[in-house]
Amino acid sequence: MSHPPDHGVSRRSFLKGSAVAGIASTGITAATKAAAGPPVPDSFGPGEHEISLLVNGAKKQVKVETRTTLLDALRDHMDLTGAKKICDRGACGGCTVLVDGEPSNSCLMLAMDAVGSEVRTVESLANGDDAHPLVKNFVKCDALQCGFCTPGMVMSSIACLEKRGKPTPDQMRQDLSGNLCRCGTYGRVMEAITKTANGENK
Amino acid sequence: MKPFTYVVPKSLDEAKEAAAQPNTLLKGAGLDLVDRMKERLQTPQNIVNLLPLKQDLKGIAVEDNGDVRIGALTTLTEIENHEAMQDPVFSALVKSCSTTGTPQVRNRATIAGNILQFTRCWYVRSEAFHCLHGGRGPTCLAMTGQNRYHAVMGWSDCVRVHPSNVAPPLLALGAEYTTVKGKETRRRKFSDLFPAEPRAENPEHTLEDGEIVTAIHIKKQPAGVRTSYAESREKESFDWATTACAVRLVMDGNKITEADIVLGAVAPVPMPRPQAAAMLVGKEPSKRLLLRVADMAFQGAAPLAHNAFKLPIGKAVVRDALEQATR
Amino acid sequence: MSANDNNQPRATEITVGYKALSPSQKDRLKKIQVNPEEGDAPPWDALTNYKTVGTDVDRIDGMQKATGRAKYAYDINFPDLQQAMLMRAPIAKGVLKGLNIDEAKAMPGITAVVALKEVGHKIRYVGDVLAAVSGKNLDLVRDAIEKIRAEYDTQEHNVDYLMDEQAPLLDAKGNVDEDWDEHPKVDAALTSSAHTHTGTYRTEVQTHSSLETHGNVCKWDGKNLEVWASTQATFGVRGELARALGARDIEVEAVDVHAEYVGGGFGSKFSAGIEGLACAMLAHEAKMPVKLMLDRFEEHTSAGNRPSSLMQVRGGVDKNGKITAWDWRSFGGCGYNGRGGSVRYPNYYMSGAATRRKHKDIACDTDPARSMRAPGYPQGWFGAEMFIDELAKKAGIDPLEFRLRNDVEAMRLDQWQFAAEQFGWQKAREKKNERGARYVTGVGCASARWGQLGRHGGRRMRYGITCRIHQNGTVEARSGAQDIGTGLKTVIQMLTAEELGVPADRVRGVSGHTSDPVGPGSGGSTTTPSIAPAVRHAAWLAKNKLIETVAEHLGVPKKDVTCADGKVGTLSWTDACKLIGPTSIEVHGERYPNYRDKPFHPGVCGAQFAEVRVDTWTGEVKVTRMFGIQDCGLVIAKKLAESQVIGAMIQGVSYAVHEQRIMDQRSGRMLNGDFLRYKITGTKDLPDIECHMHSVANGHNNTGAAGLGEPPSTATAAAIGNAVFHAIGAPVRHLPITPEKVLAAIASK
Repeated sequence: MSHPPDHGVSRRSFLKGSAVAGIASTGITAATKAAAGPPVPDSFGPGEHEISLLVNGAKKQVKVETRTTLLDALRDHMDLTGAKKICDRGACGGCTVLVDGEPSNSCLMLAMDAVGSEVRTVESLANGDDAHPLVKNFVKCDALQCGFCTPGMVMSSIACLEKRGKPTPDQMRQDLSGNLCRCGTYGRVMEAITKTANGENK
Repeated sequence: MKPFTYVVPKSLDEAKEAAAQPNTLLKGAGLDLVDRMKERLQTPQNIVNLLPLKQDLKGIAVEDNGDVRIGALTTLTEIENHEAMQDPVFSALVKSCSTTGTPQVRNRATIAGNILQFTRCWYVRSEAFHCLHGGRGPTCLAMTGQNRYHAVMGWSDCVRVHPSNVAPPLLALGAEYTTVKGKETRRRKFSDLFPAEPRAENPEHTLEDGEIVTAIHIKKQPAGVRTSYAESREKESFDWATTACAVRLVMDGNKITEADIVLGAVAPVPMPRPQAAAMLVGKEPSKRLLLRVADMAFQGAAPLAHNAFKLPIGKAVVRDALEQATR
Repeated sequence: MSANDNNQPRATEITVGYKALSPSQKDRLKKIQVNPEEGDAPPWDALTNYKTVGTDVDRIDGMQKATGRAKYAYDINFPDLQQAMLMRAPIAKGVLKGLNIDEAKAMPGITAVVALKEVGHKIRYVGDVLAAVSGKNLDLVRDAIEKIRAEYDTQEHNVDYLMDEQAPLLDAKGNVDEDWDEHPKVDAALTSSAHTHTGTYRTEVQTHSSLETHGNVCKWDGKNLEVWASTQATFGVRGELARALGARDIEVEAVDVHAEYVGGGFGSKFSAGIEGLACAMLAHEAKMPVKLMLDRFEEHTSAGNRPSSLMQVRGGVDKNGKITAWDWRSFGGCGYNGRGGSVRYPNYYMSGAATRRKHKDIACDTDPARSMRAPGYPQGWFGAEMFIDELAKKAGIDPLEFRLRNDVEAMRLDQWQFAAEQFGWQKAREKKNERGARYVTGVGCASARWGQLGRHGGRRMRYGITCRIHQNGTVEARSGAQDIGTGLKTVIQMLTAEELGVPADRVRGVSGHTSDPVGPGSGGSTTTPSIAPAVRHAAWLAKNKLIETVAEHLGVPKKDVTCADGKVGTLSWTDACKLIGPTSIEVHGERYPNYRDKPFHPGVCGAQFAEVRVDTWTGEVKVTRMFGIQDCGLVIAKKLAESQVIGAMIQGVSYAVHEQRIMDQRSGRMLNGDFLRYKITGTKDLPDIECHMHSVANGHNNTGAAGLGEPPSTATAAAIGNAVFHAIGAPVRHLPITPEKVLAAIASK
């Protein structure tokens, strides 16, 4: 939060040696800490190291750098390509995943920031031929055209349903206001949410 | 992004220690920081992740004396939904949170991060431009370039605007903020957080290196207090305000006894308008009075080549905020 | 003729037109003669009794998209996949004096660097591509790009077409301030008009903003290249890459293109582009698969756009409100190649008038135009339809009534009446805003028009479809063209199901791989009208083969066996198919040319109505509701067709009130190349939208489907502009209609 005037390299006085993570209950630990003296915070990177992420209910080991975003970790390292890279700056919602139940832009989260949280992606809503009623209603209402914004829309929609039960049109508009669609599917996305709230197409 | 070490403090003490290191930046949600790092405008060697420090830095509490303490890492969504914030006293603050960004942004964005974020001027935020405020060039590019979304008052050698919706209501409420650095803990008036004469060389705020904001405090408000927040934007779904206004009034019956007006998105810092506010004190609101106050709020404005429109729209926004507060 | 006839087609009488749109209107049906080519399937017409066509079948790939399983080019991954980026010139105009890639090449983690331009190359806009780099991850690639040493001779640039010496002179109010050249007919008509009017209208640059950026994944296998492309022209990309690689002395034999899912194109994705060529070259050098996708800034600044425009009209009406004179001069604000900025206007209003049309494209040092959803139409319609409202006001005539008096397209006259009724035009128009009210409302309307009845292919080859019936009763129909969200796969499924008399879910519609038969690029709204007749033809041929099989089995003549309603002769569909045996029926259908005979209507028509609410304090415009009626010939996949129309209207709202490219003149660079300040309509800006699909039996080929993607794009911004005019009583003649323009218009009253 401060603005250091120079970005040159200088000594790192708190970090002893390189940090490579192991697995612990929080998901990450530094391999080395100061032997004695004042408490030293854990530190990681900058190189690649393994972390544990809880994604769609399962613990997954993934190799990341500290600068790897959650979006890139999901797409490039875990083959969860549902979340899309559209603007990569948190302005369009195409990368929306649920973090501890809340829609978040995974492009602006570091993968490290997701350690210890529960991450849910669109892939969690279908298993083989079985799909969440919301997903079925997206199809029934034709709430998709090119489909690229759709995973993000689905995640914002599922959060809307889980939070509100039977959302009003204004509430849906509010909850979807962070998801851009160039093809113009908004109206049908809201129809799909409404149908799901009313128990249709279970 | 350039490579960096990711530091995870387990306590506020560890965070202070880590924050004191050179080439180190603090990170809350990181929405602003990661954005600028992707542009390679910030290349810290170390990033201190404050998010784990929920005990110290998160949460809203009403203290015994009636003051409200909002932890620095409290998210905008948490503020919107918190029980204590449903009191109409906080309506301006809650509204300013709810108009910020998108639901996804609000779910992560912290109140401190929102107040401290870097300006959204399209020159300084792009790797391709070298300007004075960014410390990479000799002049303010917006001053003679495209300045549609830039300042109309309070500028000198840099025409950026302060990007936070949340800062004006807090300023109007006379909030305070606490910081820690090394062994020091300080609690100051919210206005101290912004440079008095914001020049290009000033950052958006007055924090020193290694200084960590821990909480925002809203003092217990007197009976009869009303607050409101209004803004105008070009797009409803997700946009930055072109002008914004926060109002705090204390009313005794139909008479205004105290008034604060703070403008947002029009200057490099949130802009209190004490002269305009003073016109309200001792009076009863009327259409005519509100119009004159709105005019006065923009008295002495100095628009640029492309943003003169902020004046009439800004006055309308002030009128709006005043009408809401006096309803 | 019924859909089940299995006789060879010949000179045929069919019924074309449409049933009454509402009880207060008439049927518009008539008989015409058509002459289908020998071998083509017999035509459907207005009397055909459809079982599947026109119903609400689900989009066939909807599940893939809604579950996130659909893999777009951006999603393709390989264990050894390399990431890539382009290196671009930072100046808007100049000459490349030196380009050194050695240092970049030597960096660890970098697998290939290619120079794409040579010393002496003329740099023409900020973002001009000079080189490309692939490496293990994008951060390393970016580091390497910083190490590419380029030198430039910088020249003066201009990124504002109105500053060009070719641009017209404008007065203080922004109106064109130049004399009109003499034109005796037009001059005379103006002189004798009862009312005349003039106006200058402007639009700004709009970028396609496809959510999936341009790009490809390329993978070589010896001399064979496999490409996963985000494209709207699989065969175009295939041919282009083969040629471009050959021109760089890279030997290539087969090129296979996949585009099973594409995240939008809107006209910008016809070419493999320099990004496609670069990707293929990098993959060739690295000997590993490479992914090169543009980022959002590149997408806004180097993937084409809808150019800006400036239009001036002067015109006149007689005392009956008929347009007698129409003088139009327009300018397109184009990129460095000075092309693509032409604007059209709805010429069906001034068929009896003395008209003149002049247009000039003006170049400036920016990314050139690429066709964007109805190129030239939304701009011209905005200018023309707003001018018409202003002219109507001068003449004291209601704008809808004015259009009814001047519009010579009979089909739209029915549409105007129908839509006006549905929308509640009269009541809305008569509603008076309270004096001094903060919020005022208004309504406006505009026409929609397009002309695409489909193409049959090239001189040497016709578009084709493979259709297979399997012994288990399932059917597949395949096209090598792409479905960019328009629903091609579903259209293929439904037409095949209709022809064979089976439910849609028996049929799999497949598209997007160039190993399947040739189809057109998705441009000009040609995909469905071009492919549909081939789909029918293939299904019809397959049906005939099945009928043959069944007839033989039953020992009856073929003409006594009908395939319809799930039965073939006396057998059920399932039993009939069992007779096929392990070698499936496989046929290749082709796209015959459109009939030479005059169809019911040469193009497609539509109309849109809009209501707005304007905040007179802040100038903010909210589009509150819209109604659109749109014909596209035969409506096949009704739910999907509606999505197209609604989607186009939402894009039109965005164009009308939100979108514009903002350039920095000094650097020549776009300032809002993101989704923060390049503003696209979201859920809270949305009007309530209703649309009515107007199915017309047009009689131009065996199916009669016409293009749909573009027609509804023509009307929206114009209707909204007119609604704002009605609301505030003054026209805002410059898109996007942003708050400050509204306040300026109110102040000017």
